[in-house]
Amino acid sequence: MQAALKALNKLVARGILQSYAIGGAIGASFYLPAMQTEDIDAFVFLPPSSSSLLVSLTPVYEALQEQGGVAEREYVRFGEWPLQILTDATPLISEAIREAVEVDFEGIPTRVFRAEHLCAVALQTGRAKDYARVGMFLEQGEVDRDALANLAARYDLSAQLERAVKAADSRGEQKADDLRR
Amino acid sequence: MISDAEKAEFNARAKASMLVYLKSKSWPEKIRSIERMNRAAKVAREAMRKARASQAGNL
Repeated sequence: MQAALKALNKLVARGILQSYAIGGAIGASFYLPAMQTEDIDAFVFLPPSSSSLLVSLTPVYEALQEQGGVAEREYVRFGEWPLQILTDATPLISEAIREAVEVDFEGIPTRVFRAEHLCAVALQTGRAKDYARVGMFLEQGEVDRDALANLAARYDLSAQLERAVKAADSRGEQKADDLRR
Repeated sequence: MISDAEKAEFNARAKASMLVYLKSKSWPEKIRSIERMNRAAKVAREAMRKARASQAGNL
């Protein structure tokens, strides 16, 4: 994983990427025990350009290969770790990249989505495994519920959050009942 | 200017491509992958704990 993070940092240093932040399952693993197989989701800001996405992404893939990555389909593999470059396709993702937490991963500085943004993006994606991830954040107290509620309200995700909170709280009550028996 | 719709379409393609890769793995490979994730996640959580402690200290 270090090789992929180092490569991303070099791309930022060279101006090929404006910024990046790690989201998805790897982002969540900075807060919770791992639940899934590894693939690194790097959400990026590309430098301002009026050209097409293909033209903007070509130097990114080329530079990642120069850093030792192997391009396969639409991701680049560093050893066993596939790295996906994903764009700032929504205002929520843009905010998540801008407000990411700076973290030192074994001597390698990297940027990771805040827990609240990881949850909000998961609610927006809306698959069963995304709700499960939000449930884990809620159950383990790894997310600020007020901050998440505020974020959900701003991005029209309050109904989805309510559903996730109800499910998490009901599991919590069930666990408490089981412990009392 | 690249549109959000174009970016979203690219993200969907990239995610579909990753899904094909992950589904192509055999069960032993998936188990090794989860083990690698667990090792990395321990380091990652410790790194986040330190980052949060440092942020709290700076407030």
